[in-house]
Amino acid sequence: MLRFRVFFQIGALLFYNSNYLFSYEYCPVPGLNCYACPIAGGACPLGSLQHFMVLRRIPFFLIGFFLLIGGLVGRMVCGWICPIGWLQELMYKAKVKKLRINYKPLRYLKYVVLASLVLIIPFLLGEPWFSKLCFVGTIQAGIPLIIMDQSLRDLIGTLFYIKLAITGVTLTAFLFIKRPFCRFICPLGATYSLFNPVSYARLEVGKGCYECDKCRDVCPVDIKVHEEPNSPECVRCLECTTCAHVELKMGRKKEGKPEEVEQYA
Amino acid sequence: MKIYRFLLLLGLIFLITGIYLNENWNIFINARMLCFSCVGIE
Repeated sequence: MLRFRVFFQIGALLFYNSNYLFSYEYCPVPGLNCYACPIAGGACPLGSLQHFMVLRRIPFFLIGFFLLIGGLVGRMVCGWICPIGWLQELMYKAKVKKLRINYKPLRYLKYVVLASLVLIIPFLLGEPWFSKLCFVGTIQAGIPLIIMDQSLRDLIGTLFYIKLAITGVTLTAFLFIKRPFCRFICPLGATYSLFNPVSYARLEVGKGCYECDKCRDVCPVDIKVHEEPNSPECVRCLECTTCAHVELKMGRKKEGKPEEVEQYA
Repeated sequence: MKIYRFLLLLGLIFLITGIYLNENWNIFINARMLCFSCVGIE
């Protein structure tokens, strides 16, 4: 199953951008994908959420959507069907010197971004400020549309250049740091991460684990799986399950019945 | 009741309420048409 993850990621990218085949723009997609992109099939969940904030309406459909996905698999969307997560993994494979960032307070930045740029500022000012700064919009919509449409080229202003600069910095960071956008910035990841500790799908570490940290080496978000298997940071890519001590389980753990896994040498 | 069951039930209720209020058809399509912000044009 794990070796097919890349096919899920490619499939999600094609499905989210399938406007040339069919359109389902009335429905949000689970991963981050800009709906201003000319070939986008579905709606961006963050763009839609901001739009509801601008309208000052409760997004019932979106809340239900997040609760269902989060309640079932937690943050698995980020690891399996988010095109931006895949882009980060691909770019991190570049053979350059890598940086390991362990500064824990940075983890909370994504919740600040969610609360401020996605919820509070659009609600108060009536403008979707996360979209205005989002680098995904620049890659998928800004650059292609500016190239294709002369009339849009005439409308370029400071904001577009700010977005280009943000995109440049973000893409450069992808080369050196493991999934920096997912870990520190992404408000969609922040939303799903709240469900990780309580979701139906969860990770369990067996008693035989001797904390060799191999799981951390393969982890795309650099967490110590044996310390916190259901960390809000975990994108549930399941790369760590290649170790015999880490397992994906469905349902909650039964109290008083810890499961043992054979010693792995 | 297990927490994830409660979340799934709540999610289903919100989802059905959203569909009942027709918000998925009207609002998402309007949101997409208005999204110049994503492009970077003021």
